[in-house]
Amino acid sequence: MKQTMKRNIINFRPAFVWGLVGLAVVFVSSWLFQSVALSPTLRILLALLPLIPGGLFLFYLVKGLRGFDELQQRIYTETATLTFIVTILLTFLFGSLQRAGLYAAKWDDIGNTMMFVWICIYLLNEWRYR
Amino acid sequence: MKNNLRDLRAERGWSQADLAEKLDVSRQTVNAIETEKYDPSLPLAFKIADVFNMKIEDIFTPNHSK
Repeated sequence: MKQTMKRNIINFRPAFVWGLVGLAVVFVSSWLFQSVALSPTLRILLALLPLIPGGLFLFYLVKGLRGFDELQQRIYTETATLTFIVTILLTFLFGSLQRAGLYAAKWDDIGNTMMFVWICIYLLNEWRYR
Repeated sequence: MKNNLRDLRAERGWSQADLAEKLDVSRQTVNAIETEKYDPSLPLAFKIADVFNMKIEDIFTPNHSK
């Protein structure tokens, strides 16, 4: 498990760094939108700026996955599929509850639920590849 | 698919980690193949056969074969 985690860290380090850069760009651009008067052109450029680190994050994520051996690739692909399906189901669930007037979820509730589910799926993934 | 990878490895005194290194895969993959939880791809099966200097059919046998 330790060896797997070590390899995961090495494989996904560039993706992690670009993910952090992306988050920093999002926070800085949000702050600039609120506190500085910007020209329309600059606003568009600033709004699109997170796409660059986002694209690099995706590129290095896929590259990291390709560095795995065949069993790990298979398990991670299955995990990604499961995560995708569960995310869609949860999104529909929150939407349905809101339409039915039973529960209006806040963004934080949705985010925390998704994060919890993703962590559970990640742990399941690590358990399968032990 | 059945296999005798564990016996072949033990005969040579290799650990799972040793075999994994020779095959350029993880120890977990070797373990999954040995415990028959995972069937390797054809290129990996050829690589395994090459490492043991044997034919694929001498290492792997289909479940239905007698």
